Amino acid sequence: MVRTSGAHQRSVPLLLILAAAALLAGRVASQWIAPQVDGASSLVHWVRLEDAGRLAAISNKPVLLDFTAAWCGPCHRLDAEVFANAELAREINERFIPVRVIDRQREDGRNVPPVAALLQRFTVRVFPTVIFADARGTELGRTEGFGGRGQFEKVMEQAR
Amino acid sequence: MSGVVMVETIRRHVTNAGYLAFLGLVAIVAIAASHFDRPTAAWPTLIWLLAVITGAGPIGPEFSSGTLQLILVKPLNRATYLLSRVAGVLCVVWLTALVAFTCEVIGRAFTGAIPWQVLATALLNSMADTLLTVSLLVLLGSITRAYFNAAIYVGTQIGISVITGVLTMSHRFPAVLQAIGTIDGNLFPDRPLTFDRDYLLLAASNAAIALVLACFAFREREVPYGAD
Repeated sequence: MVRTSGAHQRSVPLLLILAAAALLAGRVASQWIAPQVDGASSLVHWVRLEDAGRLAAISNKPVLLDFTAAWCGPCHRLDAEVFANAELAREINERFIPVRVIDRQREDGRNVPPVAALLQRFTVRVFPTVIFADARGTELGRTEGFGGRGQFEKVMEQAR
Repeated sequence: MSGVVMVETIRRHVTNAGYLAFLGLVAIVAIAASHFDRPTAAWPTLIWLLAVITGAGPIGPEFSSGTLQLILVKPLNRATYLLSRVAGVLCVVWLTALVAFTCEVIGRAFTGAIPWQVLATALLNSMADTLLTVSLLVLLGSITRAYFNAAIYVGTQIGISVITGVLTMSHRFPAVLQAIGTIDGNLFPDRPLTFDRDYLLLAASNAAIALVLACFAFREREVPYGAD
């Protein structure tokens, strides 16, 4: 065994420790101030999942399924830039039956059966995923991730 | 940070035939994938693979080959050495990511509009992803020998996926599943497709913590003469 030199060779990286502490604090603060996915800031009139099929059949409107999660940053951006936009929210409320599907896998270790079934049925791989489907559940279009308001509008236009 | 260690790390990689071949492969893949509808369809995975290969190199294998003992004869701070090696490896990985990004931009310039925002976000996310990967590998390398760091890193990732799959199918032990999900989300977070501040903060803070732990582990480690 060998100890090659004095204590200076084994000094503590103070700057790195401070940087790690600052980043950790920033991360905690970011989660603390992040908006919750509860539709509070949304102008869209979200419909309960169990009512969506019936309402879509009565009104003959397609369903808009917003697959989202509380921890998902891009989901908050989708909320802020699309669902909290008065013009887009009005169009969504008029043309679709909007349903919010919140994934709780990471928080609770599992999803409630209806949510798990929908995630599997539509093969949702990323959040946010917005799927446009007719009353029978046939997919008309989808957006994966949040690629900006323009991309969302384009897919929404195709799903009419 | 030691400029000599960092530059030497970069030099050893960029003059390596294997690295140059990999760089060529990444460039070809990025140009080929620029014809796909979905931007950045292939190269971020290759960049992650390069991060695993190059990130496994510092400390552990040097310990086993006996080179670490020779290096530490010099009056060089151990934390400085470790961080300089990490910086050198990251420069090489990020240079490769930049080449891939440039190739895709050039490829898309011939086919139509360049989705700058999507491409830049993919580059940023790839850089954050590889920062965390290299930091974790160096942490594992500072407490193990040879390339056990890469084996533990990949083995843990596979193990978590298998256990998560089994527990999800069994619909039992939700608390265990949640705990494993938290570990998975911190060590191996999914690279998002879009700009995600929380993801960047998670990757940077976890990488910094991993490097602090690596410095402390390396600081206390005894370095014997000779190779394994």
